[in-house]
Amino acid sequence: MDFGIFHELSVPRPFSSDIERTVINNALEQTRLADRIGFHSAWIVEHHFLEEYSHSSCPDMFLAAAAVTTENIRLGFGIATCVPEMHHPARLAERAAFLDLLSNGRAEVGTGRSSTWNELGGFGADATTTKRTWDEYVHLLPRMWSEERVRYDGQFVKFPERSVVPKPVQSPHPPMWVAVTAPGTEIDAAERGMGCLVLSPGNIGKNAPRFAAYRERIKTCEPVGAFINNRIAAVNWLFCHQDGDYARAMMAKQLHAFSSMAAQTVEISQAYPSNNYGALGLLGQLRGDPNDDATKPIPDGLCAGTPDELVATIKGWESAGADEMIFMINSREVIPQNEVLASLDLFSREVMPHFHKTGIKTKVLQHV
Amino acid sequence: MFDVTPLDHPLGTLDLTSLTAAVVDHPATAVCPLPKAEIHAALFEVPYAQAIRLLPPSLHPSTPAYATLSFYRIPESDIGAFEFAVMGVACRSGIRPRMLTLSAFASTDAAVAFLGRWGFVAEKAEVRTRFRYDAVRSEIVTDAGVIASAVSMNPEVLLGSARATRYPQALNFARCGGQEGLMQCDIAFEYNETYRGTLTVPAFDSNAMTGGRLHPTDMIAGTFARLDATLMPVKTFLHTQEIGTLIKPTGLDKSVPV
Repeated sequence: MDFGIFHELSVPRPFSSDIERTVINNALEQTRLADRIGFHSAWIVEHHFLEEYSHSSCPDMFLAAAAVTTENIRLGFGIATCVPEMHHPARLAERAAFLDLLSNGRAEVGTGRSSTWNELGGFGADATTTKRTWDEYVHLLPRMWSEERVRYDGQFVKFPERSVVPKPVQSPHPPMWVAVTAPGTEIDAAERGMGCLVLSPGNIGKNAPRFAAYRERIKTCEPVGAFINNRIAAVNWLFCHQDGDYARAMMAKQLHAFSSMAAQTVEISQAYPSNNYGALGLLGQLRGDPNDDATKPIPDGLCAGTPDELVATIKGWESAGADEMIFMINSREVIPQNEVLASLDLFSREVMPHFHKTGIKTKVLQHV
Repeated sequence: MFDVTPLDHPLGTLDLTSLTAAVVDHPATAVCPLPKAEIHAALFEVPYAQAIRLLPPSLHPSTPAYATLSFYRIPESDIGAFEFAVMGVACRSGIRPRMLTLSAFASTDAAVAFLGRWGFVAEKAEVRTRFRYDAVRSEIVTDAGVIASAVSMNPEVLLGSARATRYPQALNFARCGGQEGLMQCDIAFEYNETYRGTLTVPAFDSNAMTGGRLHPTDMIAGTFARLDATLMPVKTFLHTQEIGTLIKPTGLDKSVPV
């Protein structure tokens, strides 16, 4: 079991350049600490126009800053949006390779297609084709990283022969992942031999069958890249404290902030129903009612509590089949930065030693 | 529950003292089946500043701001066949998506009275929505002519769970049991067929539809659904100034047949 952190860069109102800078700097400081105390990965989302919920429109720039101030932690695009109106695939390939060079081979590439009208509508994207464009992208990216020259004549991507440079450090290329929210997407990931980055936090029992289905299907996959990334990473929340009740209170604050921010987005399936988006996306699912007493304040499987409690919870995720837990550690800055850092530190000292590290190991070639 | 910090999301700025609430002496207290209904919904973006000026201080604007013009064709009901249309602006009550009604139109006098039980102030008009395989066309016609129309071109069938088009519940500014508030109209749907088409709005008289306060900018989509709808009894009456706060007018406790 490995551990990572996950940044949304949510920004509390009222917006100002000062508060945005503080949020980014806090996230960078959390990343540096995570690197020093042995976390495996740091991921950052790509979102556009999702005011308050996520101001992380340029994750590659954040990761570049993280790359030069950390040594070992792996750096994840979580998620690179494979939609032509947002990014040409060559631009995604270039950025990922550039990050891999800057970080001496620590890039991870998560892929997805967005699920909000705010974003897809804002770019004038065709919501009915995003699954198909995503498929072309994930087949094309490994070729752009590993072949000297690439020509591609797809349904959506027409790319005359070019040499996409630079090439990544990792050979044959960085690990690829799929953001898994809607039921069935884990099968899409497995079919293509891609890692399963599960954005469905909370319930272990609900996720276990999906993990099992992924494991079964990936045995017969046709990998899009040069190797199979058969890892399951479960995105979760974390607050670790010696006082379990206090930890749960802080988690409740995070969840309240997160679900309220998520409520501000307009799901694509809500505004523009499509066969391509049968289920509500992650943000829509998270519109729980924080004022509803019938709503469980801390869903099963969320990592809030004492170190001993978290060991037990994470053992549950491990038994269900997760290889890595990736934690959101703050939301809308509702938890003071010093407490976020203390939570990470306590977790590294008293929880992480209970778990053996697995997965991709890289050696730092040369620190930039 | 744990103590949580209130969020300072943007809120509406409408001064309700400038408006007259619908008087609802006898809110609906029984379910009303509307079988074999057809709904044509047109969704389009509107200027954020206009939307926020239309919402009372207990409602958050949608981001991006958008509005819905929905046409209902009801072939069977307790009051017979009728058609009606509702113009609303998207909003949130706390974290719940809602649609604040700006205007409503109904094809019969009985329908005007019927919808009034849920707080709609409907104007009698000719309302028409018709499905064809090349396009779904709907319009509202008053003595002044066509005041709004919507066309969803090349309707494409939606399958599986995508059929369950989400229609936010309507909120109507109403006076009930001596108190003013936002009366929520809950409708349950069982979908049979759903389509989505490329939306155009050939006619939109902003004055007639929104008092000149809202203007469509960018089209989102048009949907058409054949479904069995059920109008639910009025249960929710929301405060106009305090976010997500329920008020309990005495009228809601009366057992008056619909």
